[in-house]
Amino acid sequence: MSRTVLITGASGALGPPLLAELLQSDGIDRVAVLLRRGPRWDRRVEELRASVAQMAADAGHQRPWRLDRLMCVAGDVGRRDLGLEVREGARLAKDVHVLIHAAANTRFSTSARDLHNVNVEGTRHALAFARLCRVLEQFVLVSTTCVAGTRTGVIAERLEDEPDAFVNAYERSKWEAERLAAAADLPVRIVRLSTCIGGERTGYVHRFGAIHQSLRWLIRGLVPMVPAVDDSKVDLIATDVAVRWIARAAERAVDGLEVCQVAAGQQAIPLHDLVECAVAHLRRTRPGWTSGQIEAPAIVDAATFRLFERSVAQSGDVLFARVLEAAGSFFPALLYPKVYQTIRAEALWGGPLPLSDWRSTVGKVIDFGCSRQWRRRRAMEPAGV
Amino acid sequence: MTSHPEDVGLSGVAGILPPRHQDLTELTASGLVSSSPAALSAFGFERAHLCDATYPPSEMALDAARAAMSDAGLQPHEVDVLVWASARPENHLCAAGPATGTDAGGVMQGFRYSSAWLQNALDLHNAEVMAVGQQGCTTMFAALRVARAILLAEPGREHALCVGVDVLPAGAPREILYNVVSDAACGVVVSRGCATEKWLGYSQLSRGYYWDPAACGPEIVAAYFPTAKGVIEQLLAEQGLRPGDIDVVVATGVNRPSWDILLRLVGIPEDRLFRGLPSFGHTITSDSFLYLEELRRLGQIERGSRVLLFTYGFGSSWCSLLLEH
Repeated sequence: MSRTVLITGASGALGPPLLAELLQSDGIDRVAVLLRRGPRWDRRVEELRASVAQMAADAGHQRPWRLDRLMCVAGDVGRRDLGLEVREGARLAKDVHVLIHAAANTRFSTSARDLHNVNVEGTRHALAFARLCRVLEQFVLVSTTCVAGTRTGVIAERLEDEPDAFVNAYERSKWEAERLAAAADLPVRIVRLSTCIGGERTGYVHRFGAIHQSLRWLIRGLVPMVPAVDDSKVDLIATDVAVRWIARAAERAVDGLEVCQVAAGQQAIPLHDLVECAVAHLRRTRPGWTSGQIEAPAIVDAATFRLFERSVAQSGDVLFARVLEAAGSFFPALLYPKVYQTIRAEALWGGPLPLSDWRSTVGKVIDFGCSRQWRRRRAMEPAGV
Repeated sequence: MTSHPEDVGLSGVAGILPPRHQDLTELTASGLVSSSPAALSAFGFERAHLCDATYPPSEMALDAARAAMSDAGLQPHEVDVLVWASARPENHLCAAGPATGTDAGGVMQGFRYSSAWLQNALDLHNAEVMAVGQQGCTTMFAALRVARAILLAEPGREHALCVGVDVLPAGAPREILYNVVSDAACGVVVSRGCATEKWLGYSQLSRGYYWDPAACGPEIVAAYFPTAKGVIEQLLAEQGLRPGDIDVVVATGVNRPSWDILLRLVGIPEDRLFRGLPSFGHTITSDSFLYLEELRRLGQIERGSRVLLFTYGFGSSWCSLLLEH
């Protein structure tokens, strides 16, 4: 049977690796990508295709795959009917079996209103379009483990009531998006992804996020301290794990609502180990670190970190404010230790999730980021630009 | 407490601030600070002390040296070694009195050493003279370390007078990395067989990576805490001590929240911090000794107490010194 997948947010961090994975799938004949309408459309399409080709090469895919199965359509998740032209919308509504809604604003510094507009209202528009799809098998909402907010302990793979507090407005917006999807009366699979650090083979990062910014500051020796409690762990996964899981999920129908957490879970990394690993890598590879001149950040309790934050705020130091802003995406989470259950994710996968050797992946991501100066390189630009 | 001939301690301690000062509002109006008075006040600063023509650096150096010698009960002829300490190069040259004689090209002006001038001014005729520098705010710590090493290595020497002086040029900005900077001087007599402020240990981490403070200010700010933690922990480990074994931590005049953070990082209870003087700003070389003098004057700590001094200096060096009161 000919099956079509429609993806929103394909130009984001997961986009090209996910597309490369989907184009490998036997069960998918066509992948339609919603790209924001606007100037330089042809160039952006070209760049996306080049990124996907690069991804497939980096991933070492052996099986034949066809880029001609990739189709880009102009639209906008911020608009009703996904901003699709009427004829295009009607054609997709007739064909789409799986809608993967990955579009999101993940910039934590964005205003709550803007986050709501993209993450909540965007989901509303995607759900509305999904209702029009006559052969829809499932709506996949790409969510985040961050929706657990300040909860601690074991986080189950189910919809939860609103936590006592969220660390930031991004978390709230994604939690609200989940509630919308769950109430949509559609076959919905919510996939909560842990932090995707980068590709396990090459360290490739399509779009640098807050965690990469924090790594960048760390490498410059601008992170003096990291807040944590004794049993703080960091749940990281390689991007490959996330995209392989989503691609497999796209082939498995869902009945009603299913919530899955693609996360390291019990294999989450103790913070001390992660810092030690990153520092050890830097001491082998980066100037200033190799000579032992830059110290590793101190791991401190919440009260000490708050004193530092207050001190930065009082000083008005712009650079450190940026450092803290980047760190603010996951530092606070370290103070709310939790373990993400992955039972359903593993059941769908058919066994333990294929977690990478995190030590190796972290090192590769650092090397990759440094080689790109932590800036996004367009796929058609030569390396080292 | 009995002293052992091999003990080395601080027999005299003195700190001197110029009487003239400007409060934060005046400093702001003069354009000498860049942060707002509110921000600087939140960091615990109130004023900066400034030398001027009525109280020049030379007078301040003399006062600090005399006060330290008086505290130690020393006469000038008993000083065996004089160590001058200044972080800034211009403070190694004597500004007292006009230049005299013929000096084509001004080359000879560069040899008008402050240390030699002070020896002469104080009649320290038996003293051997030297100077240390290039360690920023830890320069006085380096002077004490040199003095102690000489006393231990050369049994004929009993007393070394260390004099630290740092004065910023007239009109220079008075804010450095969120610290309000004052002019000041200090004097410390390091003596053999001295049981007061007995030297227990010293630890230093130098990081030339940060040699250019104008180019790597943020990196220095970030490195400050983890490296400070490292140097204090190193000293404690060498002495077989735990953080709670420290009875008193002598503060510096740098911004107050940084001390609160540092104590938490190291695990020393905050009530061990001594900063029993009104804010005088950060004086480059003299902070620790202004506070140590006050601590000794108050006489509120018990004999045998372990006293920790810590400071950071551009260069960069992080230094900690452990004394037994």
